[in-house]
Amino acid sequence: MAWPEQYGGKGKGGFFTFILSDELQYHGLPYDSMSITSVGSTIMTFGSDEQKSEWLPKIQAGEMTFALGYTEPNAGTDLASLQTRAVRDGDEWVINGQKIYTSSAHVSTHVWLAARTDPDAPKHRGISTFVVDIKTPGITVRPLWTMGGSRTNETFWEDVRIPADALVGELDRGWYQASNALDLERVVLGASTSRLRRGIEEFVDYVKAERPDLVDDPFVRTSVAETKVDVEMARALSLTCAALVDTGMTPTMEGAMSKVWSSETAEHMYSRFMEILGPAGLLDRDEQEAPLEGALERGWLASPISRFGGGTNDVQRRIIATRGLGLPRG
Amino acid sequence: MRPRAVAGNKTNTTHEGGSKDVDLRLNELQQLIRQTADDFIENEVPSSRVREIEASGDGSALWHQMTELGWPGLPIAEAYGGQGGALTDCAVLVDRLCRGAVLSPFASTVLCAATVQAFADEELKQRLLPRIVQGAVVSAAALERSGAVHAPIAATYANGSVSGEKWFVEFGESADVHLVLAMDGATPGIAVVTRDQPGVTTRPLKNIGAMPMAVATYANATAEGWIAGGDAVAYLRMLGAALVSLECYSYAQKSLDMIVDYAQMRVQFGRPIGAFEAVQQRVADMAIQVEACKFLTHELLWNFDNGTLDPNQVPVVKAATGRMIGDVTMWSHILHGGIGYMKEYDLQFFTRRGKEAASRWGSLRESSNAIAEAVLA
Ligand SMILES: Cc1cc2nc3c(=O)[nH]c(=O)nc-3n(C[C@H](O)[C@H](O)[C@H](O)COP(=O)(O)OP(=O)(O)OC[C@H]3O[C@@H](n4cnc5c(N)ncnc54)[C@H](O)[C@@H]3O)c2cc1C
Repeated sequence: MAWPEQYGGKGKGGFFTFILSDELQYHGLPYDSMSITSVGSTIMTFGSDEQKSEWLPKIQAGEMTFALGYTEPNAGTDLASLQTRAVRDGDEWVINGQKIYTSSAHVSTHVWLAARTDPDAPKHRGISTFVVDIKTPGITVRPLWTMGGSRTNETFWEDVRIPADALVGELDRGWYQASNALDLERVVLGASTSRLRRGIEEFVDYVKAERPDLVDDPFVRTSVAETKVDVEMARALSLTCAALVDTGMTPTMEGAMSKVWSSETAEHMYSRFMEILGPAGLLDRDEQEAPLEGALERGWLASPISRFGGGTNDVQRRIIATRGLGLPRG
Repeated sequence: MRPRAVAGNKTNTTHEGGSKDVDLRLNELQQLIRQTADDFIENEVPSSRVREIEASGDGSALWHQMTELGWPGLPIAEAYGGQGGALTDCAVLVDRLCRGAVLSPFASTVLCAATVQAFADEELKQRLLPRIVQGAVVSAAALERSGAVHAPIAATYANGSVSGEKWFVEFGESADVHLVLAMDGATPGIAVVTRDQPGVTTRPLKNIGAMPMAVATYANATAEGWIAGGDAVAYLRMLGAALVSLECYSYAQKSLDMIVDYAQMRVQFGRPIGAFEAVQQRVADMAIQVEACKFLTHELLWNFDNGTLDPNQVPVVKAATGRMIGDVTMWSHILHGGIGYMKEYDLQFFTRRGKEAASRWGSLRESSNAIAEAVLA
């Protein structure tokens, strides 16, 4: 893996991470890339030596997995206005508040939590990040079901007591650390190009085998060609990010570009393929007649997540324009 | 609901290809239909009931209520017990039902009743239309397995019976009567088949929009009537496309209205998100497409009513609405953020229904090819 060998990695770079996660996705295997790339890398950068030696090998081994506890009902895009409080009490922190869309909190061992530690400071300067064992008393996880059929959660935090050393990095500097993790999260979100490549291949195989009448249809040919171009561009942006990570840089603009392009390409791809197949393309995944086992229906319904997850695409566009290209901030 | 600027949308809208006198304002009857529909939906079909019907797949009690209001008779002439409404009158009801995410066979009833009325012989009309007024559900069994509207018709009609298989039959499992497209030798036509008979079997076909659909198999099924001729078949297909285009518009309009409302309530960075330029630009782009489709769908039905239909316009409207609906509903999701993606929130109805409607009676592939065929001829 892409981490230094002392933490259980194989000393490979970001490029390797890309290829690995890409290959695993291509073959449909799970790769807990969010825990590893986003949280793990942030711990590696900001964590204490004890935290690194205790947690990183476990993360590497898949024994420690994370749900991301950033978003709150009133703090989405405006994440820095989050209200969940962490108050120091002797050797412990006491957490109170509510998080929403805490995906995989019901299957993870830990939550990577952003909470307010200084309510009097300017909003970006009073946030800290914590690693919290999901089994700590006081945490309630409730399901929220999505349009795509997947589950996310609401989490309620009531007098949740965690040890002092659950704090990662510097007190009140969590915003800046979270930003780093989010930049990396976008690299992960953007790196899904093998899923797209695979999408084209499977669709083409299906058409050739089941709907040969469509092979010479001009609309079909144009749609497939356009999708191919889109996906190649997504691959290029994703590899650009990986190359930058390799040289030790955080690809802020490139990550945003990659995430915007690949997430929108996914929606266009599924949509185009559905438009080719007509009503058959819209059959439910439970329907045995559904082409590609309902992958189109499923893929399309899932596509919004990556367009607003990890920072919405419109906000990414602003990052590209301002942080990336130096345009003034409005 | 925000006020909509329809006033000033005077008559005598002429445009290239020319439907004169298309008027988007609602006349008195249409206003009444709209008010009745909105009241009914508000009182009887809240989103909890929409969810129940979607889960159980059984909307028969709701259809019974709609029948009591006389709705199935709207497209049917008074001579057969109906109210003699125009398609543009029926459109008002279709529109309101879509905005309420109500799954009902109303649009299917309009399609079938109008086709029968326009093409069946008098004796068949006397027998069938009053039944529809009484609430019999009628559905068009028009598609082959590929779902392509213009695929060659494979079912056959001979000596009063029908054999073959049809796909994507709306309400096919519960419909009392199927209008089955079939070939009588070299002549296409529409066989009128009562579903409840040994020769007809159906099985459900689940889809993204939760629209009740079925595969129907006819094995020497008795037909109680036969509407011969390619004209009737063409009319059914074109009106099917026109009505489902209207559905797409309605789902998109609702999806747009929802984000316009939400963008005024949802505050981030101390301001309603609707105050951000990026949000405004997306909403404006959505509104542009929706507005165009509103006119196109209305104009098309108006031309049906007035006998001024240009068949080449049908795939244009179908493509316009089919392309628009996915875009608009997706943008509504993106602009809503997380909440819009939750199943509990109603936006998902319009997204799923709209996507299904976009491919019904002609995918974008078919429509685009048909347009090219006509334009480049
Ligand atoms: C399925 C799913 C899984 C998720 N998983 C997680 C998770 O595991 N952990 C987690 O912490 N969060 C998670 N999220 C939350 C996700 O990150 C947020 O939904 C996202 O940050 C947007 O926040 P919001 O939903 O509150 O939307 P809002 O912030 O309310 O945004 C609504 C719209 O307003 C726009 N907007 C807001 N501010 C501006 C501005 N200044 N300029 C221009 N446009 C603006 C946005 O672009 C968006 O289009 C998940 C969400 C979903 C739906």
